[in-house]
Order: sequence, then C-alpha cells, then structure tokens
Amino acid sequence: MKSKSSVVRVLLCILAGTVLFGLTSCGSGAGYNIPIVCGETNMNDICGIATYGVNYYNLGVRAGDMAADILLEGADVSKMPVWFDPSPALTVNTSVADEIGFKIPESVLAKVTGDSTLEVTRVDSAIVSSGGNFTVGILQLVQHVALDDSNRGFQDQLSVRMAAAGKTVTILDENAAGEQANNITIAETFVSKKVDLIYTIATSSSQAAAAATEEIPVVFCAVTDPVDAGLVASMDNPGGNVTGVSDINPVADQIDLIAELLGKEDITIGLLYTSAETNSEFQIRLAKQHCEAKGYTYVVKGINDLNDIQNAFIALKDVDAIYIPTDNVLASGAATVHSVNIGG
Amino acid sequence: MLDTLLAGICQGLIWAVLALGVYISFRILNFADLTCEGCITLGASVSAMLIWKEVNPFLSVLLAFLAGCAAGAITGLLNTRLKIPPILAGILTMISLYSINIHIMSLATGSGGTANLSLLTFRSNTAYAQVSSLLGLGRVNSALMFGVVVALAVSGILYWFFGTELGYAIRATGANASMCRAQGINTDLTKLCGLALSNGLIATSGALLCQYQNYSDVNMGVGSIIIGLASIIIGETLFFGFRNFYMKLVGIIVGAVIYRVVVAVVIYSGMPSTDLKIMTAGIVTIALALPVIRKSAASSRLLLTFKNRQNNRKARRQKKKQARGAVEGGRRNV
Amino acid sequence: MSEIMLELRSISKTFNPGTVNEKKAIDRVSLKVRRGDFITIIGGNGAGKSTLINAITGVFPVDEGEIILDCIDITGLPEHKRARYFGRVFQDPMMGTAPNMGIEENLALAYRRGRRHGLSWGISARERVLYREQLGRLELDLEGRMTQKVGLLSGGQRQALTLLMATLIRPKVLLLDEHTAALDPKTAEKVLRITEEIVTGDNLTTLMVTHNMKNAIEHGNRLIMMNDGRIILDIAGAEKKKLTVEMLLEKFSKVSGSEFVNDRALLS
Repeated sequence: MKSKSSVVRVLLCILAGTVLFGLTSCGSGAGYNIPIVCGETNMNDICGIATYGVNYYNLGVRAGDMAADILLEGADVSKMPVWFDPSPALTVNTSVADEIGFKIPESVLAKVTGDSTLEVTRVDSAIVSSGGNFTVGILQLVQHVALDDSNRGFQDQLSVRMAAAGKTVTILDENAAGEQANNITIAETFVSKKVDLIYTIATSSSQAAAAATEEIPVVFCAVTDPVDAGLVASMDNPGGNVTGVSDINPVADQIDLIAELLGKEDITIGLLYTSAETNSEFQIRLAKQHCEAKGYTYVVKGINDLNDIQNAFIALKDVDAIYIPTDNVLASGAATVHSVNIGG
Repeated sequence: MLDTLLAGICQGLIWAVLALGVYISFRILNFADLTCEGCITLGASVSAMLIWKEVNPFLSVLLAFLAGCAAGAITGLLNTRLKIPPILAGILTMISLYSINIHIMSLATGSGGTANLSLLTFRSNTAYAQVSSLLGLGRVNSALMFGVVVALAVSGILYWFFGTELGYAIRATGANASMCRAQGINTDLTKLCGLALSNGLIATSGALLCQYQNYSDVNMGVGSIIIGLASIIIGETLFFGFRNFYMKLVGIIVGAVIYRVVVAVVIYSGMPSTDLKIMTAGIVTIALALPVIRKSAASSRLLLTFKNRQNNRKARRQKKKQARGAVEGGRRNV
Repeated sequence: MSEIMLELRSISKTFNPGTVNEKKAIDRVSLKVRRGDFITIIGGNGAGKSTLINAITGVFPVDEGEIILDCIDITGLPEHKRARYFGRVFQDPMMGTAPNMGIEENLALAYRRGRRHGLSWGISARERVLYREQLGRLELDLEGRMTQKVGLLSGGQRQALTLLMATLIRPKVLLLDEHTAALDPKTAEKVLRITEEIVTGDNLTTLMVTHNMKNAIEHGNRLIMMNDGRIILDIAGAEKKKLTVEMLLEKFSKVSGSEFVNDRALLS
C-alpha cells in the first residue's frame, strides 16, 4: 500500500516537473518580441523601439533657467508657470527593433531629428565651493539616471547664466539616498543655512522642501503632476513660493505613435505600469482616455515589483504593442523588461 | 547651525515615538517585528487621508494610533494563531500594508493607486500649524514644544502602563513565556497587546511625521526600522546603568533625538549625502560596540586590581618575614 | 469536599506519532492523589515523570484519558487557565522566573496567578509588606533586595524564589519537577529543606519528581516509581517509612524485570 502511493507520488513529481519545464522553456526560451513604447527616452534606449520622450537633462536646463530668472532678475515665483515640454523629440531605437524583428516604418524614421539633448557648456568658474553671490541647495530623492541628468542640466545652465551676469553661485548638492526621512532633514538644513533657492528633484523631496519653507523659492523637477502633489495651485499660476518643471510626457502622442509604428488603427495595446506609483497611475489614466477616444483596445497590467515582469508578459502576450509610462520601478528594471521580451 | 540643531531635535522627537514602539516589540516582547516599515506609512496615510476629509488633525493622530494597533494585532494573530515565525509574520503584514496604504490614500483623492498624498494644500490644518498659531511661535519652535509634550506624554503613559498588571504580564511574556503560562498568563493575548501597542506608537509617529513634512508617501517607511533600532541602541548605551524604567524610556527619546541631530549636522557640515547610509551603519556600530569597549576597559581595571593584590601580598609576605625575624631576634635575645 | 484532590484516569501521550521518532511518553496512567498527599515520583531517564507533570499542567493536551482536579474535569483547559490551580517549580532555574524583572515584580505576577491582568497597579504597598515577610521565610537575605533583577540571583536563590511564587497563592497541587537537579548538593539540600518547610507547614498537596532515591524516600508520605510511561510501584504510609535505597532497587528489578540503570540516582 505504502509503496504504491510513493510510486504515484514520484510519477506526479515527474509530471509536475515536465509541465513546469515546459512552461518555463516556452516562457523564457522563445521570447515575446512585442514592440514596446516607453514614456521616457532613458528607458527607450534599453528596451523601447521609439518614443517621443522628455529629456531629463533638458528639463534640468529649463529648471536652471527658471532658477536664474528668480535669482538674477527677481522673477515672481508665484506667477511663474510650471513648464513642461510640449513637443518632445522623437527618438528611435533600431537595435532593439532589429532584435525583436520589428521593422520601423519609413514614415516614422523620417521624423527623427537626431539627438535632442541641449548643448550647454558648464562654466566651472561660476560655481564656487563657498562664498558665491548666491547659494542654491539641491535636494534629490535618490540616485537614478534620469534624476541625475536633471541635476546636471540644472547646474550646467545655472552656471552659464551666472557667468553671463558676472555672478557666482555656491551649490549644496544633497541626496536623500532613497530614505525619505532625510528629505525633511535636508530641506530644513537648507532653510537654516538660509540658501537663496532650493532645487528639488522628485515629488516627495519637493513636498518636503515646500513644507520646510514658505519664503525661500523652491524650483522642482521630475514631478509629473505638481497640482496633485500640492506643490502649486495651478500649472499657470503656482500662487506660492514653489514652481518648476513637470516631466509629464505626451502620453496621447506616444499612444498615437504606436498606431503609426504598427501601421493600423485596429490595435490592442498593453498598458504596463507599477500600480503603487502615483505618477504612473496618472499617465495610465490619460492613456486609457486616449485609447477610448481613438477606439484602440487596451489591456491594463499593474505590477508590484520587478519580480512580476515575467507574469506581466504572460498576461500581455497577445497584444500588438506594450506602452510603459514614466515609471520608476520599470525604468530601473528596463534591462529585465528587455531580456524577458526577447526571451534571453 | 542652531536652527539645524532645533530642526533635528524636532524630527528626533517624532522618531522617538517610533523608537519607543520598536522598543516594546524588540526589547520588551523580544519579538523582531518588521511591521514597522509598513506601519509608519499606515499612520501617515490614515492621518493624511482624514485631514483631507477635514477631520481634526489631533483626532487623526489618535485614529492613526488605532489603525496601527490593528496592524500590530494582525501580526500578533499571524504569529500566535497561525504559528508563523515573528519575522515572517511582520513581513507579511508589512507588505500587505503597502497595498492597504495606497487604498487608504486613494480614499482621499477618489482615484485608485494614490501612492503619495500631499498635505501642502491643507498645511494650515495640521497639528503643527494649529499649535504654531495657538502659541504664536514659528514652525520649528512650536514643533519643538509640541514634540516635547508628545514625547513626555507617550513615555509617561508607557511608564504607567508597564507598571500595571497587564504591563507586568507583557514584560514577563517577553522575558519568559513558559513562566508566564505557569503563572496563568495567556501569552498569546499579552503578545497581541504588546504588538498592538508597539505598532500603535509607530503609526502615531507616522501620523506626526506626515503632518510635519506635509505629505504621506507609500515609500516613506523605507529605513525606518533602522532609525528606530539605532535610536534604542544609542539611548541604551548613553543611559547605561540607569535601572529605572522611566529613565530607560527617556534614554530612547534622547537616542532618537541624537540620531536625527547627528544626521542633520552631517548634512549641515556638507558631507556628501551619498555617504549617509554608511554613516548610519557607523553610528549603530559604534553604539553597539560601546558596551564591549566598556567591558574591556573594566577588565583592564580588574587586571589593575589583580596587580595591586599581588603587590599587597608581596608586601604582606615581607612584613611577615620581618615580624618573624623580630620574634626570632627576640628569642635570641632571651 | 472530596478526599481525592487530583485524579488521573488512564491518560496517555505519544510524541511525534507516525514518525520514526514516535515515543509513547506516558501510557494509560491512572493515579488518585489524596488531599494533603506529598508524593515523590522517581524513575529513570525517559520514564515519563516530567511528561506526567506537563500533562497535568496542560503544557500539551493528552491523547486520551481525563484529568480531574477537585471534582472538576480540567482535561480540556489550556495551560494558562489551569495555572491558577497549580504551583510549579521547574528543573531549570531559568524557567520559573522573569530575569529582567525585579524580585517583587516576579512575586506580584505570582500573586495574581490565574487572575485577569487589568490596568490597576502591578504591585501595591500592602503587597510589598507581604512579600518582605514571605521572603524572610526563605532566610536567603532576599527581603532587602526586593527591587533587584532576578537575573542577578544564583540558581539556588531563584529556585527558592520560584518555590515561594508557586505557593504564594495556595495552589490546589504543588508540582515540583526535579527542582533541585540543577543545583550543587549544598544548595539543593537547602532548597529541599525550604520545600519541606513550606509543604508540611501549609499542608500542601504535592507531587515532587526527583532522580534522587534517598530524597524520594526521606520526603513525603507516598512514593511512586515510573518506568516506560507507566507507574510500576506505589508505596505509601508505614510501608514507605521502612523503605531503603536497596529495597527500592530490589523492588524495581522485580517489577520491571530489569536493573535500575541510572548512575545518577544511585550515586547521589
């Protein structure tokens, strides 16, 4: 009796093993090769085929301009509209397209204008380690390619403007290293040091700076929806000491780009995002609205972390293309997304 | 500089409430509870959501406390009823709180998936703003007063609570559960009470933090358990030798304040903030190593007394010799 | 008031059933303990002595049988609910006290054994007087160190304190599980003397497990010997008074059909 049941058990194990092996091999071996359009260029460089992407360096440059206007020209922060890039440049990634065996139509390729990154030459002499005409504190949430870019762009442009005006600036560059407890500590340190302006990168850092001061001008960057975040009263009329640059990407244009890439209107788009990210949630809402308006079919798949990517692809295996908004978790896992997609 | 110190103290007083909560689970109950990281956000989310719903900010802190108690009780039930090991039980509650916190914040905005809830538009409606306008003091000074009152009140209540019959039973549960059962204490229940209280305090800290920094964010709990433990260890090291329970609690408050002040000073001094994490590890390591250093210092003192004793013995031997010599000399004289 | 204080009706307990480690620790044990009995329980390693005590106090549920305490069936009660009826002292001196709490705090816990723990003060001034007086009975100079942490006490002091805690509220049955085994001979003797004083002084119904045959013979009015999870010998009254270690060994080999192989029991 006992030996019989153990034989059955062994057989079951073998069966289960075969099924599992079969599943994993068709999961990772074959690959999905679905064309992906990302919300931002950094991610597009790794796993996307084409996008109208905001360039975080350029956003930083724009924020640097705003800071210079405030410091040098005494511009009124409360009346300084939040800026966003109305027509980001189109970039294509032919190597990923080749890898998944997708041919980008000529019509799309014709629109590419080349590298859109602004050329700003940093004037090192305008940035002094102490005793500058102005002191600017930079509060960045976490080390991250896109956020680092917007920090660099800001500093470069600020140095150019300072040099042009014959002034110098001292920059206090702080990073909360992903620990939000440090946001408010850094913000309050800037306030007690009586800096002339605080530049904040990412939503929670910006909120902490806004909480720490109602007098010192705060210029933010990499905030998708500054109104929702409570930073400004409205995009055109901030109404307080806070303004800045939104990194909202042209979601509608990006969705249309998918149709253009596929060369048809009858399409199913997979919308992949991290369900815990406010910014992504906001973009997915926009994407759904646009799909409905244009009559595209869509499948929404929210993930919790990078471990869910494999499952997400299983769920989205029948879509024509995948749209990934500007999303911190997926951006950090862009390489994983790519390797799952090509079945590496 | 003074402003930085004061701001550091303000934050330290908020984190002190968390540290006291962590002290209850880790030290008193001897339960490595990782619910903390989800629970501080729970407190922040509940409080922020209620302020959005125009609930009194002080009341929102109290309700956040209750929400935290519930979270702690769930960890307790997972451990006592389903026999899931403490660390795993805490992690399970922590990760489920991630989703729950987003749902709570979504209640305020009405749109699903709200991971960040701003209080900036309600900034005059936070407890800190109300205290500030009541006292007519600035943001930091009033926050300091409020923080001191809260920390003293919480530590006072804890001192009272752990002096009650139930408090005794909870302390004994952490020390020796089998003895407790022999004394007729339902250790499942005391564990549950202790964890509920612990997480209630952690959520309270989260509620205060969110009203202080004017936002709640689903990721704001990252690293909070380390801050709590570091505060406890610093407090215990500095207040080593105090046997009074109240002084131990005060030690933890002081520990939390010192921790935040050190972080603030490090940032103020312009040390690159990429090194913040290694600095945190450094503070905790030093605090942890202090007892060992103290012990080795004590043992070297022991060595000294040992040497003294040897010297004394030598001296005594010589004296004896002299005395014997004198006796013998005396005999000879006779 | 029944004459029988504790009755075990054919209780059994098997550990790890259905595995290679299966062990029948107690096997259909029946026992009637009369009010005021002071029973010593003796037996080799693995005879089931401690399991018997743990079954009575409810550390685990028994597989079959009933436990009747003073006419009440307590078989289904959880450990903490039975605790009010029993005073317990464990073999390990660490087991019976909370080391990070003071002497008086430990006593206060014992003083509330089996009661609901509410939000009134954990200890009162009136109690302190009582504890001081009780600690005085131990003659260990503990009455002047009431706030000291129990963790700083020696093993003997702890066992004496645990004994006091077990009897501070008069238990229906006092259960001593080799409570002197971990102590040095001199301390063990002292703790035994205190035990005898308390048990006879308060006329407590007591079960004392011991590995020491001499102690088992010297103390109590009844002796039980266990082997392989069963009671193999039950001697009381006048017959017990005449017992010697040699007689006990002889009886053991006659009843069990084997030699009593426990050096510890013979040598001590």
